[in-house]
Amino acid sequence: MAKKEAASTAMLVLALLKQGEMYGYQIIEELDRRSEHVFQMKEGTLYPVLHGLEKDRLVTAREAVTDKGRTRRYYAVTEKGLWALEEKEQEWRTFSKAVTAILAGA
Amino acid sequence: MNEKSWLDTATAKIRFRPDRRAVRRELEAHLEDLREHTGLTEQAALEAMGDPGRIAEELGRIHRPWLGYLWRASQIALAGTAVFCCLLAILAEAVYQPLGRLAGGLESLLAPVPFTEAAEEQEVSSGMAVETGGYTIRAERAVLRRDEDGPWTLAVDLRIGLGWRREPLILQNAWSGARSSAGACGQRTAAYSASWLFWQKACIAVEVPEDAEWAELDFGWGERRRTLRIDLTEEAET
Repeated sequence: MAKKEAASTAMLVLALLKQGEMYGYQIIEELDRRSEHVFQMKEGTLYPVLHGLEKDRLVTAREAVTDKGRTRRYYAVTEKGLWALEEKEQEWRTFSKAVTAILAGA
Repeated sequence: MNEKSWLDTATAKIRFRPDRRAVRRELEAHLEDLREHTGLTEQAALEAMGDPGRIAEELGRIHRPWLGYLWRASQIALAGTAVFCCLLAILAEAVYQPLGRLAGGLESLLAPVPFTEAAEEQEVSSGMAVETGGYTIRAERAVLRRDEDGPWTLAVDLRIGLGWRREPLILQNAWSGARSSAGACGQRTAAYSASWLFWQKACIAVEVPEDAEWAELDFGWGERRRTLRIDLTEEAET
């Protein structure tokens, strides 16, 4: 189950990064805003997922120092990441279609 | 627990020091952002970040120390490789023939998928290629074939360059559609013969209407969808 959760989180993160590069705090905020507070991700969940995606080369990261001297790490989705996202979207649509069909017959 | 000890705990299991420092900087900036935007106290912000022990476990699993050491070793190895290449160039004449024999053996293993014999067969134009998702998909051979009064089937041998992906393409997912000049295509099937480090061989087959002049095969989805068009009227050069 933990693996499935991580895979779903990864899909959401990749979908956000498809819109443009973001740093960790920004990802959590965007996810919260776009899901209308349904997905409130903890930092403890986000960073292992982000670093796992980077290790699998689905995202790249670059560091930049802000005016306030903070070192932020910006993540951007790679071509391989976009491909993986599309695969996950296909799987999700198939799963969602199947659930909808079963609920319709319930 | 104060911020320093929280960060120490959260990064404790990342054993490669440069990685540990980078992750620490990232988490530190996140904490500062969190406090600045929400007005939380240090203690509340640390609680909102989650259990540092659990984060440490997860990060430690991802940031394996050997990856970092491997990176360092690879830089040293690069210099060694340059020297090795020079030596190899000197020895090239001696090793060329054995390597050639090895490549020939592999080529025979990776021959196109064998077809069962059909009553009617006509090889049509091929050689077209498309690139999508890091793969290069080339139609090496395309054959129109029919058994007795059965439907016409277009069978295409594909050679798929794996590029930077280094993992075989799953055609059941990636082959997203087929159509022809005479309308929709029928049943689609895909088979694999073999894959190698940089490329794989596969065969796909699709039923096409009898009077179709061309068939289009789609690979990938959305913006990455690419179409391979096979001209069914032009016979292949022999």
